[in-house]
This record gives sequence, C-alpha cells and structure tokens, in this order.
Amino acid sequence: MVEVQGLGKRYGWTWALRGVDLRMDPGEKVLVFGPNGAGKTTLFKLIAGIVRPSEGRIRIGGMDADGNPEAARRQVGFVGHRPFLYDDLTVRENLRFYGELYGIPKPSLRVDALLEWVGLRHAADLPARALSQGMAQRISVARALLHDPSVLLLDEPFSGVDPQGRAVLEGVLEEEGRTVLMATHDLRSGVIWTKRVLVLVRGRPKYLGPPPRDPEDLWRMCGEHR
Amino acid sequence: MRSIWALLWKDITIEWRTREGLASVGGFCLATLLIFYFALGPEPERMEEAGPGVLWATYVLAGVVGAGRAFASEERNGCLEGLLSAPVGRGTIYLGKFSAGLLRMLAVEGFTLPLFAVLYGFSLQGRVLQLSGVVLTLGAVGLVAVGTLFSGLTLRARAREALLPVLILPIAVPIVIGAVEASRLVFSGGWEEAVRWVRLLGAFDITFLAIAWMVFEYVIEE
Repeated sequence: MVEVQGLGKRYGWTWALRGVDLRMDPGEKVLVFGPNGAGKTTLFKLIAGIVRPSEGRIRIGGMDADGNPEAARRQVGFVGHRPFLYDDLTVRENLRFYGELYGIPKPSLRVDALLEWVGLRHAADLPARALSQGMAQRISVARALLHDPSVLLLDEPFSGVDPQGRAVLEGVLEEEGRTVLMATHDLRSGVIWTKRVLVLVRGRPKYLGPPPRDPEDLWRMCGEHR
Repeated sequence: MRSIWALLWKDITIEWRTREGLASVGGFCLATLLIFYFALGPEPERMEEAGPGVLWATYVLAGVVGAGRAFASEERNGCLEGLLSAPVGRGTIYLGKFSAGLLRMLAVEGFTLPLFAVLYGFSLQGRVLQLSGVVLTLGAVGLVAVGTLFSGLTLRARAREALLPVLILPIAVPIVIGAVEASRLVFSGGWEEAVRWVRLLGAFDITFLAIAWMVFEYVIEE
C-alpha cells in the first residue's frame, strides 16, 4: 500500500509539486499523467526516496518513509528515465552490485533468472556501455525487480523500448499483487493497465479517478488539445 | 557492512578498468613534485627544509583532484539516483565512497613517496619508513574524509571544479599543519615529538570522519 498526504517538493522558491494526496491499495495500478514539467518525475523520486519532501508525508506498506527510510525504499522498485547502470561494469556486475545493496541472498541466482526473463542472458558479460537503449531499458526493469518489490514505479517505461522490452513490461503489468504507479505519454498502454489516473498540471493534482472513455480527454484536462 | 564492501568493490573495479582516477591524481602528484624539485634547485639544505611542505602541498592538491572524481561513476546514466533509491543509509554511501577514495590516495602516496625521497634526498629506511607510513595514512584519511564530503555537496553545483578547492583547502588546514610537522620530525629523527602530531592528526581524522558521516545525508539529498 502507498499513501501520500499533502506531498510537496520545493526547489528554491519554486514548487515542483504540491498538494498531492494519493492512496493506493495493494496491487492497484495507477497512471500518472501530465505534460512535461507537471511534476510526475518529482513524485516518483519522492516515493522512491531519492529526494526528500518539503512538506507532506509518504507511507509505504504502512511504514512512514521519513521515520524508516531504508525499510520504505526496500519495498520500492524504480524504473526511471535513465537506466542507472555503470558503463564500465558488465550487465551481470551491475545487477549483482544492486543485489548486494538490496541485501539479496545469493544475488547471482536471482540475477541469472532475471536476465533469462528479460531475454538478455547472452548479454550478461557485456559492459553496460555496449547496450542499445532498448536493451538497457530491459536491464533497468530487471534491476528494479531484483528485490521483488511490492511497489513498482515506472517513469515513462515505454519510451525507447524495443518489442521484447514492451513484452517484458506488459508481463510486469499483467502480474497481480504488485502496486504500480506508472507515468507514460503512451495513453493507450497507460489506460489499458490502470484503473485510476492522477492528472498533474504544473505540479498540482488536477484529477484523480477512473480513466476517461476517450484517453485523449486526459490531454484536454491538462488544457492541451491534440 | 555488506553495502560498504559492494560500493568499494564497484569503485575499485571501475578504477581498475578505466584507471581514470589513478592517472589524474598520480599524474598530478608526479608533475607537482617535479615542478617543486626544479623550482627549489639542487641545494640539499633547501630541499631538506622544504621537503615535507612540498610533499603535503602535493598531496593536498592531489586530494582536491581526487575529490573531484569521487562521484565520477555516479554522474553517468543517473547512477546516483540508483544509489539513493537503494535501501542503504546515506552514511553507508559516504563510507563506501570514502574507502574507495582512501585506497586511491594511499596507492598514489605509495608510489610517489619513494620518488619524493629520491628527488629531495630523504632516507626511507627502518623506522622512518614505518612512521612515514603512519603519517601518510592519517593525512590521507583526513584529506579524503573532507574531500568526499565536499564532493557530494558540490555534485549538482555548476562551478564545481572551482568550488571544490575553495571549500576543501580551508577545512584541510589543520590536517596539513599536523601532517607537515609530523613528517618534518619523522624525517629529522624527532620521533618522540612526532608522536604528538600523529595523535593530533588521528584526533582530526576521527572528528572529520564522524561529522562528515553524520551530515552526509543532508549533503547528498536534494
């Protein structure tokens, strides 16, 4: 379960995000939608524990993220805009490194299983710098799932993804039981997999509810016509 | 502890493959020692007098160069965000980075000290070598502790390269004074007196490390 109350983040005098309230039940999937600069990535970074809120609170799995930051982060997997991979380590070394940070017992077995699952076992010993964008995105998904998190944050997961990567992501979204918060401009994919939409405009929540019948209406909610 | 080892292993592996940090810090040390050698001239008395100061001026400036590279691997592909989203305390990240920086600094000191001894006419035999090792290690601990902290602080700053020396050098003054005095006494045989400076260096190191470990959380997070 993810619970966000009055969440806000300020950089200098500018509020990147303010007044966000969201409660996600276990296994629920929510789409975060908004134009560029709406505060979507800030919301993800706050829930992932990468940045500290300026106001409000976050509870993950019933735990206060401010009081138990490490325990809260342990429950979250994050696929961001960038792959978080070290260019000079191999794919396997990258995943093993993250496995160690997450305290996974026998990380090698888990790494091999995930590489198999994302269809990149053959690339395990390649340096991360040799990966295509699509391959890096698939490894990024594997990294986020290494510790089998109960909450998964997907920030624009379909951008630059190859067909195999899309299949991997769809497999993740099909799974029951994992709470997923996803931001995407790929409205068809976003609306198919989620039951609720949070629309953000200029850092403020504009709508929280079921997706509209015509996904393009989401753009209209943001004041943009496409 | 497992996370500190993982961070250390990751930084050492990357350093071993790229040798970027060792090449820049080591190259800088060699160049500085040679420049001072030619600037001070061949008189043995002057070399002996200026030697410890030259040695530590070299290591302090090398420490600044090294601090600039402390988070180099995290600056690509959003790896810092990957690190911050992991369930590891910020203090643990600091200690992992500090350990990697310390190893690099000790490696550089290990190969530049004999060169310094040859160029500046100091003997490194017996107890001098042992005590020099202690002083060099303690000096490196202090410099890397401060350098790693400020490297994290300036990670998102625009004029980072300009800011780092401005921040590190004033804070490192007590370490430099202690290290220069201890080295001077070790090289001249005043071992008993050197122990006082060594203790002082140790006290500075513990203080700097403890403060840096405690405040790193506020330094690294946006």
